[in-house]
Amino acid sequence: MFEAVPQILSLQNVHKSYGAVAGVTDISFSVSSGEIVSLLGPSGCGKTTTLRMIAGFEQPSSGNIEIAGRSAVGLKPYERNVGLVFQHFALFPHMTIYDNVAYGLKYRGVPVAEREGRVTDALKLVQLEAFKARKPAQLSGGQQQRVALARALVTQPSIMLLDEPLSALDAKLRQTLQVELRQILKSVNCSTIIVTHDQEEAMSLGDRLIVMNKGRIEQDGTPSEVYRRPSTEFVADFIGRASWLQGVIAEKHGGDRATVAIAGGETVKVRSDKPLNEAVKLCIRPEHIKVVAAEQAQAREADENLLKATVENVLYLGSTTQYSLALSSQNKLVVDVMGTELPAVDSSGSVAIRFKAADVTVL
Amino acid sequence: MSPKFLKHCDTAFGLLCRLLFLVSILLLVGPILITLLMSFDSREYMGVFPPPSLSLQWYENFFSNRLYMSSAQNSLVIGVVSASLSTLVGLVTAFAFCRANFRGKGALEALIMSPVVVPGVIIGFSLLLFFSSVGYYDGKLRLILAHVLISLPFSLRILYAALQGIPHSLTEAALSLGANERQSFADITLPLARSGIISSFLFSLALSLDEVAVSIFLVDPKTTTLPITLLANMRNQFDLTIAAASGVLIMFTLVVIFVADRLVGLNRVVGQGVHEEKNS
Repeated sequence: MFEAVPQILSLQNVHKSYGAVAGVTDISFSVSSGEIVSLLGPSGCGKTTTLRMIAGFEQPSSGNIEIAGRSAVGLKPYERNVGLVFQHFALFPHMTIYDNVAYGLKYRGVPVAEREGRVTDALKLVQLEAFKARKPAQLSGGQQQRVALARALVTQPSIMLLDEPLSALDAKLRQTLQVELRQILKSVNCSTIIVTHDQEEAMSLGDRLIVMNKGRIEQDGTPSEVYRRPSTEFVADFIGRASWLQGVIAEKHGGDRATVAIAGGETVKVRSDKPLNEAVKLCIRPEHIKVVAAEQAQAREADENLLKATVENVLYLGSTTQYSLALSSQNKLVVDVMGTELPAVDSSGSVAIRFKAADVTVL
Repeated sequence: MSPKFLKHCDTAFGLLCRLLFLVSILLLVGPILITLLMSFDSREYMGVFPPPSLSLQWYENFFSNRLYMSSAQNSLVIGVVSASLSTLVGLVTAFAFCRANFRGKGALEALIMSPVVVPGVIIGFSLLLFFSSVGYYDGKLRLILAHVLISLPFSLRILYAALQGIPHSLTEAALSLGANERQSFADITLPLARSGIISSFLFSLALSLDEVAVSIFLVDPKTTTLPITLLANMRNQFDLTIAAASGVLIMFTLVVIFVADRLVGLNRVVGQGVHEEKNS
């Protein structure tokens, strides 16, 4: 294979089953040098199993795993050059921070003379040099997390594997550490896989997002691709919020322009290559829908949809206000409105909604 | 019933609990204190409590008696060797129980735990029959094997709890950092199970040092343990040397507890060996 960016890790048709139960099915993806990939999915989707197979704690039932161009199948964890950060950090409680970080260097055959410098550099990288004489229990959760990161990075692994790296921390700290974690990983240019069930974490940390469900990969793409162009119903539903409409492709207008007839006799303009009369599901993100007063209801552009709706419920969320709307067809929609542009709703509760054909995902 | 009556009931019940507690403590500590005091009795015979004046004659008696000294030495050797063996076997078994899932795990655990429920007399008699049928007559080794058998259930329990308290992710972390299984066991598992290992050793030692029911079947004229000798002497010459021996044993126990406290902290020796480090 001749590729511009070398592949650090590649999984080829990896299967893992436990007896008759399938853990993961036909997983293939690769990670290139310096890339951060988020592996996202609900619990039990096989993302942790995938991580453990890359780390060497479990062996695939079939398929191949290559790390740095060498097949890792059958290799023990200590025979692979892989750095791991565990969900609860797994720092050695009886060792100092310094000894924790130095642990990997001993068995990776780093000369004694070189070790101290590398441990100090790693601790500087995570800004914990001053804490090297302490024990893990004397550090806060965020600090422990950074020690775990330093301990894995100091051995200069081919690939870093992070298992729910921030889930053991409280919400506020998680946000700060998200930024910090990405900066650190990017500064050492280490290829990384981050396993998480938190979509915000997955999107903000990863250059690429792989969404898994029931042991399979649902979608593999950049975070914005996955959010804006979900390829399956599961992805659209799992990542972000979405309103769903069901219908049938009623008209084709050339190119990818089409009209979908939804239940209740209304029509929605969309962009889709699906053939005429095919049953489809439309997915619309709450922030793509604009709510306007019923009397000014007219589409401004040719590509815009305009539907009448009734307000069923209003949830004030601070920066946004969330409207639950019912269309005349009894279809339900959820809309987010920024705090400053609250729409005028008349006494009967009727409004109109506008959204662009390009913002509708047809599945 | 009126609330006032119920309230009085609560008060009475509280008092009763306190009384029960006091009586229990008295029953635990009282006899030991009386024995300790009596061991310093200066009378030549065994008189009534309290002793009129004090002397060290019973201690002199104890330390100058060759039979007492040799059986004390036997007890110590048998105790240390059987406690070490029991802890070693317990550690290996507990590790297997923690890490592996194999058929018959429950049955094996029940088998190892069975000496707890089988009366000592039955164990002792069975062992005597067993050892003579296989033609094995070395007293010391017989006693060591018997004491391992008796203390293993406790060692296993203590060490199983200690090992289960060590998250498996710590071992996995060591493996991912380049250590192999043996190295990660030596670097991570052993140090973190240290308090469990020490508790297991001390508990087994204590069990062995005062074991009578099983040992009485297995001692021979050349090899006898201290509790058995004390028991034998109590029958033919009832004097206060036994009280002095108790005094020595109590001192020994206190020293062991003190050392254990210095090494791992007393509450962790008595309790279960959980791995968390104190914030020091």
